[in-house]
Amino acid sequence: MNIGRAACTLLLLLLPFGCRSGPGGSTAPDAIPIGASITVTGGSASFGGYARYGITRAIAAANAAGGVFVRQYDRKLPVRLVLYDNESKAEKAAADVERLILRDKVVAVTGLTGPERVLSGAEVCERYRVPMVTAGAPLGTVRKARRWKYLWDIFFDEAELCRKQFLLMDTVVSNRNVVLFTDNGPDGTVQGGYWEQYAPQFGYRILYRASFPGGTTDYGDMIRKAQATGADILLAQIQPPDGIALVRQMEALNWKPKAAFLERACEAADFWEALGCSAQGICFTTIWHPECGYPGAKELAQAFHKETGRSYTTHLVGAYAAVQVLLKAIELAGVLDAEAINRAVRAAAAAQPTVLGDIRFAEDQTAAQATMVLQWQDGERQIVYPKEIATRAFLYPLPAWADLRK
Amino acid sequence: MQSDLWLASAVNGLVLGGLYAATALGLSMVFGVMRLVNVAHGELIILASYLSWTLYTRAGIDPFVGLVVVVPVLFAAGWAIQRFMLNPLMAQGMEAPMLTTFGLSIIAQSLYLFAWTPDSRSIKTWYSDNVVTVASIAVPNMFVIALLAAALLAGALHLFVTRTLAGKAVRAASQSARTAAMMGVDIPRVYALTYGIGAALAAVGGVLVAATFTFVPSSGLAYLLKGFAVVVLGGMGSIGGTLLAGMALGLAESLGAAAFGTGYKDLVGLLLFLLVLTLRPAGIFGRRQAGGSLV
Repeated sequence: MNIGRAACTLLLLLLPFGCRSGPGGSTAPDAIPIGASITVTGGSASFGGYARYGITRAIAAANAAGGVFVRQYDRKLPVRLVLYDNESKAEKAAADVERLILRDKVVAVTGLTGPERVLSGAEVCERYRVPMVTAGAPLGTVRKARRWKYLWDIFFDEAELCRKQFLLMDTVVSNRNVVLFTDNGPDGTVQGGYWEQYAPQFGYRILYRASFPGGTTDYGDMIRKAQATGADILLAQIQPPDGIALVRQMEALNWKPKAAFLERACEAADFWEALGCSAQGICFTTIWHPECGYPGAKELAQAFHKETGRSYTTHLVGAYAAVQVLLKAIELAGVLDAEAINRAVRAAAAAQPTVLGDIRFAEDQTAAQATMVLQWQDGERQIVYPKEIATRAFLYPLPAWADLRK
Repeated sequence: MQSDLWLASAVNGLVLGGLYAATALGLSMVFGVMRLVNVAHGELIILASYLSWTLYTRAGIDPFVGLVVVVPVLFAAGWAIQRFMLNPLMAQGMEAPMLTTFGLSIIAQSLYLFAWTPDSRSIKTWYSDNVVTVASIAVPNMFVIALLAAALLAGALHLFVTRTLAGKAVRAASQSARTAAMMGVDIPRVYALTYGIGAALAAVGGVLVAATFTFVPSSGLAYLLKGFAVVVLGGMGSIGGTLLAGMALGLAESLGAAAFGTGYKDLVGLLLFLLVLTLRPAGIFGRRQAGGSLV
């Protein structure tokens, strides 16, 4: 055997080993495929813009650092995002997730917001045993639906939200009478139930509850009935455009309770932009504020504002945090196997602080983040409760409409 | 419930009906003349809302002053849509133009999203969030303005179709396009004029919507559906019927909300709609005839 033939034989024998990229022995893919279904269009499109930015920025940050280390291949792999628009529809969200899993072969899903979309997408994930990490649905709604094995939800606990509102109201003098306005979607139904459950426990009386479909434009009848009760407190679960219409009609019909909490409707800056000083003093409960001091969060909000001209919401930070957890889970799993990644999610959340603070999943795979009450004051969202982290004093009672017009 | 609350609900419902009529008049006009279900009507309304909002926020132009710009823009857009997109399809029946307007509505929503973002918009002027109080019943200013605008538009439209040459051509086309064509009426031109007027009417409705409620890129569908109910109730193409049907729908919804809660107001409105369809298929003010009845 001459040297040339011996070299060729050796090369052929070594060739299969040369193709291996790591100790596991399989070929490394070009990238780690992650799927997202977000609300780019449709009624909840305003949330989608935040989610899209949060997800893409988190993935860009990971890729800028060389990608995610995957032990199976003994090297870092870039992350590839496959993103679909679910048009704010639950059935489209489910179809998107199925397509992501079956056609795009993603190893995990994220980005869904709104309980109806999260739940329908999560059902698909359960069927195909692919993890979904999201910060998009109130936890009570998620827990109520079923016991999940592949859905990991990071959000606020509705019961805790109620508690914080009533504790805040305990710091001021009111007639302790409450009016509830809840839309008849999953958010409104579940949240309304919690308010009805918790109000008596804190010594508050619900004098009137109105339920209405999302997209309602005329609230005159509800307002007149609420006005007739003489209640000092309005608690509402209502979507953004409807919440703005509600406040305008409250102003037109000159109904001003002493405190108003408009959950979901007034978190984004467009609430103040649409209403101006009529939004002064209106409260909502959330899990994030730039002053919370979570690592990277303030910078994320600033970058978002600089690039888009829009102001932050929790959806921006939540989407980013969900991806942080997901990528860490892939790293901890060490393989691109959906089951293994799913098993690593809990540990991944505990292994690092996120832009949404520390995330700890409970046994039921929900992570309840600390809630705080924010209030619109002079065009800014200020923390007014708990007092330890408050950025402004609670403005109470709400200023009269006539005073706001001056 | 106290009787004054019932009365307040009834009065507010009647007046709110003016807004329903104002947003439905254009739809009624297009359907009455061409028998075309204009699925893009809601998007025309929202386009006007956005244009009006842009003029108000960027240049401080009052939404009603802004009509001077918004109405011609919408008229031109409507005229062009009919002239260049729908007229070539009209010979193939109404399905193709209707599907085209459906496509237009989807494209328009995406364009609005791109141009104005998905954020909720609203025009808040010094007069928009006040009330008119008559005999202790408070009615929002904008509801009253919308009712007056609807009555004015209906009156003007009636005068146009009965007193002007162009209007008579439109009316002739609505009764029988073939006969009108034989009499020398330029049907494609009349159709383009009709769609343009329909869009101009939608412009007024859109400005009223912007100054009364809130809107997002996908808000048009709600006004389209409400518009259909009003047009069918009032009788296809009946101008006066549209105004009265809007008020009837507003009244039914408002009383329904007072009786059963706001969650059921649409149900009450739809029940009225079904009842009228069953008892008077041509609508309350419609005429039982094959052709249109644009008066």
